[in-house]
Amino acid sequence: MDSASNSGDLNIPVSAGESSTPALAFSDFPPALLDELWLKAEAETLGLTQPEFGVILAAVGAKTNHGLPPGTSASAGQKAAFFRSLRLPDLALAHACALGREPAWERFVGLYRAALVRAAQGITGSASLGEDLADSLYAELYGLREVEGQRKSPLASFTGRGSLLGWLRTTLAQRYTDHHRRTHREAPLEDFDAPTPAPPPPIPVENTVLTAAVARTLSELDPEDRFLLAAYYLDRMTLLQIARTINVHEATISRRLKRLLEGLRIRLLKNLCAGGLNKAAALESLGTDPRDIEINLRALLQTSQTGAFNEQGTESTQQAANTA
Amino acid sequence: MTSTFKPGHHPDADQLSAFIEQALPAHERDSVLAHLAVCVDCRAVVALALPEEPAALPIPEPRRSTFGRSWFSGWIVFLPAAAAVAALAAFIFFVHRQGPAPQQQAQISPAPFAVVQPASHAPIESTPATHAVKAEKLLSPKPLEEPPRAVMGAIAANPSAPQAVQAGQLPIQPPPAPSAFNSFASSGSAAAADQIQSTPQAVSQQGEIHGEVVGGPVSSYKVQAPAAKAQLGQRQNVFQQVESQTVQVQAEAPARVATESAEMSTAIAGSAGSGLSFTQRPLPSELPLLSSAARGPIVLAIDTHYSVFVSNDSGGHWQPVHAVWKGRAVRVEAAAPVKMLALPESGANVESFAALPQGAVAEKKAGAILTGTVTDQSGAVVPGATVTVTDPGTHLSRSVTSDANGRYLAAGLDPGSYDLDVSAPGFRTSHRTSIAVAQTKEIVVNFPLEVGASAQTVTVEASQASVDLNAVPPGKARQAPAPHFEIITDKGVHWVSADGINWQPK
Repeated sequence: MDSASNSGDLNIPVSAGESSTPALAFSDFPPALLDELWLKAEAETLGLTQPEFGVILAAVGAKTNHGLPPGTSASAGQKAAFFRSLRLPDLALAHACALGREPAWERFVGLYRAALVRAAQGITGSASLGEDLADSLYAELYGLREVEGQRKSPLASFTGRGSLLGWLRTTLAQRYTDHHRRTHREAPLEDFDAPTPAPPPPIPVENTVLTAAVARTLSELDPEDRFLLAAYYLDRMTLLQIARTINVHEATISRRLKRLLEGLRIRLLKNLCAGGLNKAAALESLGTDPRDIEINLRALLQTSQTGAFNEQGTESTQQAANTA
Repeated sequence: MTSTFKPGHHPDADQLSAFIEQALPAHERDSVLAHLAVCVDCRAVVALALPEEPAALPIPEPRRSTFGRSWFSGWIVFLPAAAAVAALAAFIFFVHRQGPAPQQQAQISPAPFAVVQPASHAPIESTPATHAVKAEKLLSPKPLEEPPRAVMGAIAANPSAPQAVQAGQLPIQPPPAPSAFNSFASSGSAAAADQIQSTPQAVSQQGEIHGEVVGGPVSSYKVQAPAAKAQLGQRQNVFQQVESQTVQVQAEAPARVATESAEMSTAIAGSAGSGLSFTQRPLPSELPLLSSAARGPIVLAIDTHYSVFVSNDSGGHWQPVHAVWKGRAVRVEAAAPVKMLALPESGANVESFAALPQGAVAEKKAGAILTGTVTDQSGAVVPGATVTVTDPGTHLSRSVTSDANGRYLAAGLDPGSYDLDVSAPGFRTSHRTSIAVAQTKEIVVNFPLEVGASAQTVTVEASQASVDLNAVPPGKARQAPAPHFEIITDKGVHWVSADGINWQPK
């Protein structure tokens, strides 16, 4: 099969001669397991050979550390369990498309082309915008973008832990978010002509203690609690949306938010007392009019300074390849 | 990107999609969640990438709950209980309508007829040729609500019936299973059947006829109760005893051959206008009959609410009877013996006998019997031949018709000399004169008809005659005692009445 020659165009090392690390990983692959996974993935119908599929699996295992926390080495059984838990047909299809195999693209178009357009239209809320978004992503998936003379397809970053359709939808959302951020950064010129605002008045000491206590309290929260606060109070997501995100019932979200607010008050009082205020002063500071304090909760909760998702995907792919 | 994300790094699409699909390991999920807590863009991506909600199902129409509250579906649990309550109510209503049926009714329903043993426990002869089952009125299997006349008429209209019995004007179709009766008759080894005898002489000595079941094209059967005052328990014992021997009979002979005893006795006695007509009209209470008895046109009936009614016109009009007894009247009987009446006067002298085995009806009648077979010259029977019996002294006559076997029977004749005319389409009319008839004697006169026009007459002169000096002249009624009804209460007290209205303790 000529797939081996085509695979050299992509950034995923599929041949044993291009990188020693994947070759070693592939050589460690039990033949029986590889044969089982290769058959289960129906990779042959997509134009993938067993060595190619083994290299792909090895790269996925190296990228995700076989599902184990960092610094933990997986045993043979854990590796086998991890590979069997993958969505092997999706994985084979995505990487066969990334390698430019025509049978894989035919199947991809048949299976996901229409779904891609529908998802894009759902995300953008517009048929035309959705089609444009889907077309641009489709071109990107096909590898029209070249980096250092090599076709780059985001499909190569697919690890098969989720579904390929979910990956496509997430990628669409990222591209749409990138587009949204780009367009919103384009501020009108007259804003820059506006006079510089006056410097803010000095913040009272009590408010400084309160701000520090709030920041400390929020930083002590669990990631999930912070996510709940941010999603509910900053993003104004509904309880149902939050519940679907973390896969719990919306009533559970409501209860957890209520408990979270009660716990926040107690923790805030404790932190205020720890900041040098007595209990009466702490209670009094809790009754401070929010308009009198300068606490940017959004800034406290949103500390992430991120780049574009489009570049991020490429970076992560490169990181995975390098790791592998 | 397997650890916490560096500042400025987002989880890639693979991680976010796996996070959305809950496919990330715990440590990676926490990392993603921590990033989501501080990254509004990734939260936006996650929110956008959430799978579409399933299509909204069409809102079903709110169920019109029978019980009002649709949110509570537990009412379905009570449906079986409600059905059970409804069934119980229906059963109670049915029982109430039927009334506390006496134990006789419980035994009636499965049995087409009942057999009553004589009170004296005298053995009852059983002859294969003639058997008649005389059932107690209360043991009659036929529901009294059903118009017997209509039923009988329907049965008589059945051309498959080879024989018919003329009971007044009510031919009774024999059951379609003669073999059952034969088996009954042939169960000579059975004790009960061995005790059954049925001879004309024995029948003629019976004081009361309670009922009759006639069946079978070959022979019919009768078990008679000679004593009117046979106790119910004895009757039931015998009933059960004979029933055990005649399971097949009862199974194959449905309850279409039973009649009211008193009605039948009246009908047999030739009393025109009496008989089963009282059931043509329902009782004033419109309740089913519990017990009834008829004596001529006077009919007494008890409904299932133990109310007693009397009718003087065979059930045409009813009037309630004031209960002078204590307790409930559960049974009424025509206690007086049936007295035979003479030949009716002209105008009522036509009696159409239906098919009946030889002597079956005659056994129930006092007086002489003229019977015989009408045949042609080749010996083949001639059904439908009209046999006219004429008293030359009074010129009263009565006609009978030969049955499918060519047999005719004229019973209840007073002793004397009679002329017989036999006519049939396509045959010459045969005429015999001076046939002497004696009481309680059966005279057999066979008629071989000759082919020819019916206008032609063949006259045969009789040679002998039997004369009963105790006979009553034809046309005059025998002296019959006053009607005598008897009511039995649930306490076993007997009350008697001659007219059904004025009652006295017995």
